[in-house]
Amino acid sequence: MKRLTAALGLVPFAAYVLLFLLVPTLLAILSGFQDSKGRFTLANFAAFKDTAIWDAFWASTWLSLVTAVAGAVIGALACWALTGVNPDGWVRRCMDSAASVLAQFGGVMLAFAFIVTIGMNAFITVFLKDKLGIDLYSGGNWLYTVPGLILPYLYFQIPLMIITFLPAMEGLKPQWAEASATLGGTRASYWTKVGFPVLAPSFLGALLLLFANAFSSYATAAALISQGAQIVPLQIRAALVGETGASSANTAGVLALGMVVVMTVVMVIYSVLMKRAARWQR
Amino acid sequence: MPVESPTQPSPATSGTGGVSVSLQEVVKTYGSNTVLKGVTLELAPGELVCLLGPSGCGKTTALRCLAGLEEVSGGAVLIGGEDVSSVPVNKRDIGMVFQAYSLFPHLTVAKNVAFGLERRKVAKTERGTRVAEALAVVGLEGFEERYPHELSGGQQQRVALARALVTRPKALLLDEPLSALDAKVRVRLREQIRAIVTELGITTVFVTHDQEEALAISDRVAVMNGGRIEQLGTPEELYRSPATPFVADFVGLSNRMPGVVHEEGVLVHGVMLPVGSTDDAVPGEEVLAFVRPENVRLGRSDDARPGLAGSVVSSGFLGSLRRTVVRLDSDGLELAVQHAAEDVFEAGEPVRVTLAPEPTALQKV
Amino acid sequence: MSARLSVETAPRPWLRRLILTVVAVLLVVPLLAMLEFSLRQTGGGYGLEHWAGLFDAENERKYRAMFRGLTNSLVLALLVLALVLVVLFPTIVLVHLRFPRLQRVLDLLTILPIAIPAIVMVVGFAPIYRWIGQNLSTETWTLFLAYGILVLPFTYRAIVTDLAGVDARTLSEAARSLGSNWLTVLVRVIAPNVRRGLLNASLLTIAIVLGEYTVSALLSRRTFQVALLQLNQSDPFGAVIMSFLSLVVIFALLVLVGWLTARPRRGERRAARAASPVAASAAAATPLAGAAAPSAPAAATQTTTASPKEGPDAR
Repeated sequence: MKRLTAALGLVPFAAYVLLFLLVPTLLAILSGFQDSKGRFTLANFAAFKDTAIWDAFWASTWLSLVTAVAGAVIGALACWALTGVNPDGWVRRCMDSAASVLAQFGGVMLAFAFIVTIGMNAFITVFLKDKLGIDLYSGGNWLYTVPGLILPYLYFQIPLMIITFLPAMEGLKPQWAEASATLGGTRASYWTKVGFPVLAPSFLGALLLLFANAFSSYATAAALISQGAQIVPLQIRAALVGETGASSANTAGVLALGMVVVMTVVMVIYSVLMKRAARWQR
Repeated sequence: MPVESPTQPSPATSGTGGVSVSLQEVVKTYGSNTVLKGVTLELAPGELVCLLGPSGCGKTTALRCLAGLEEVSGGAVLIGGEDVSSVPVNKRDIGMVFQAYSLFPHLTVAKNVAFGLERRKVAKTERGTRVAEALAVVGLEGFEERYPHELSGGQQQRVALARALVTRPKALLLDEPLSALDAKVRVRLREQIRAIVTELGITTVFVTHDQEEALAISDRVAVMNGGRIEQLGTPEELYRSPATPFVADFVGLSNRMPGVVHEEGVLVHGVMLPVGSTDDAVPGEEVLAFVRPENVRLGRSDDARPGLAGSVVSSGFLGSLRRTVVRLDSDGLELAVQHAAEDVFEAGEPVRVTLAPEPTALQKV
Repeated sequence: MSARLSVETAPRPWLRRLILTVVAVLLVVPLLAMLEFSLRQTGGGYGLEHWAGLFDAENERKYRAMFRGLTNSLVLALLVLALVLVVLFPTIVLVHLRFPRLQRVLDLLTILPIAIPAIVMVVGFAPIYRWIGQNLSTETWTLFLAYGILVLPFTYRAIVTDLAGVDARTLSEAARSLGSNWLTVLVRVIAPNVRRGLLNASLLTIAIVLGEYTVSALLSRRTFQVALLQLNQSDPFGAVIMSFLSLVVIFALLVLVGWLTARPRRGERRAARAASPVAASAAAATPLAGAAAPSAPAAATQTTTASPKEGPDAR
């Protein structure tokens, strides 16, 4: 096969990626710079004068940060425990598969799961109220507000941490612990001098990934919060479905641009951390 | 048996100067699987002993029991005459070099080497001088600020060696330290290790599956098989009078020739060969005798000397010597022969072979 | 025990069990709550009323929209699968064999859908789908083109990890020297050797497409998740039962495929793990690590082959 003919084989994929990945991305970003008639304008950025937008970015950020930190810590503990089980055993296999399902499958269904777990009429809520006298909802119906998203988000953040951080945890070579011990180190000094420092880039990287994951997550929030737009993805929904006026598609573009900026910063730091981790794990 | 060296030991790494190390009837089991079946090994101060054997023979487990990385199921481990069987690894005061990838990836060479000194709370100024001296011993001056991933495999293992030696441990344990390296680097580094160990006079256990490596650097070699030591001896003893067929086979390639046991040895094709160990040989018994290729002499068929008639099957050039395979006319047995490279034999050429009366090991038929 | 303390890096058994139990409970409780909820009877007490009702022909009208959404999503999954196998897979192999220098470009392109939130992609998809709606079709099946992009990070990495473990170059040269044409090489030689990667890619595709909500909801297409959310307004029991079922079915599929693709033979364990669906999604989730260290798989192989070690390994 000649090289030119071979290159022709790349055309279908290249065309597809161009039309459905690169063009939409450009359209999304460019739409922020257009008015409703398609002319260039910076007027859409006036949206940022609206404090609701800033509030949404702030809410998105802290929600992502809280669930990323909590998810990363709990997930890392789970990974640590998993290094002690047989890698071919059923515990590990079930944990792997469960983590995979929960991390990537179905934000809407996770929202349902939480409504029936800790919602108003859920058995845990009722049990706590009737038997223990603890009223989860004494402070109002918080499940359908931004703080209410924390638990459902953790439900996919912890599994995502498990599948992303476990390989790094398993990359800790047993020789390091053994070398540390033969050199006079204790279990504690192994962790403080070797284990934690070596894992630090992977851990921070996973943390950023979790942040990005929560920041861009839409389905769970959309299923739980049907009214209002407290976080950025819901702001975009509101702009797209036209709740806020005629040039809303372009407002959505500006918001999308804002998200892309945040994601780019996160992903760049992430790639720097991952390069370091990859170098160490070789 | 430390070999005296003309150079003064470096003050940085000399210290204890070597103590005796021994394994006494050590047994190690994992569940129902017994990996060490009573291993006894005594090292004199300053001695370098290789544990040699195929994979799964228990040599690494024996070393790890010595280090304290594995608990012994039975028997005792002594370092400097003291029973350390229940002393944890980090209190045993040993230096260990692993197969590969054991350097801490996030620390510079200097900090890797200083790791053990920090654990021992050695003062910072002294740490600096000792690290520098240890790196000088392994020939890596000027590498202090490099990171492990910037070093070659051989350099990494030299840093690991410096790291193991800098704490002036009572014993040095090496677990196949060269097996992940290229052949050339392997030979150079093993000579360097031998020289350093000799200079420091540190008692050393070296695990390897490479018989050439073991014979080249050891004071004594322990050949292990199936969780036991089959033979312990100097490289010469092992090579010249293997105690068991396994040793004969593992320590260099051997021909197996049918023979009959006599009081004074074994009669093989009319030649009486002395037998290394005569434990269970009963006179009159038919056995297989191991005959090394270099103990077979090869001559032209018109040679006046007596010998067995045969013809050349193939002949290969090995650099300093040549290996020729001969098929004996009498019984069709094929014999490998090692001889000077100048003697060239063609395939099919009729030849005569004679056996040198060197000690041999026997295998029951 | 005391002699081993300082080399053991995993938590002590009691602590390990405690952590795993707590995490397992955290993950299982919401599922149990779904089950509990679905078994509630209208008049109080527990029973199979809502489960039976879901498959009762009398309720056909009530659940019609939901089942149509499910059918739409299954059709979408098949179309995306076809896209992955017919367009993506040959491209990966072609780049691997003929244009290795484009590998990095492909690595970067395929992480974009993770770096760019789906909600942002929707903003860009909206005008494209407006055009498609006017000129082609407003049906749900057209979404497969957008979904192909969403699954790209996961399917790409599932296939690439497996391909890296096979010496595809030598295989294809051997086949070509025996007179095979390019298509034969791809279908008869390469594909069977990366079947685990293809299987995992397929499974991930099905899972992601069935669970997708963001794009379809905002482009007003009727997929399973959109229909579920709508059903939840009128019949939360039906919605919860269907959610529970799909979570359990996908979980079971993952366990099954993980079990089928794991090869118990020693030495290959590492490779088998690398090609499991979970590892593929992990690889997809840590894309830049892969892009930053293209030599990582090679290094991993080296480690495996360079340690014919006995001792504790030989247990």
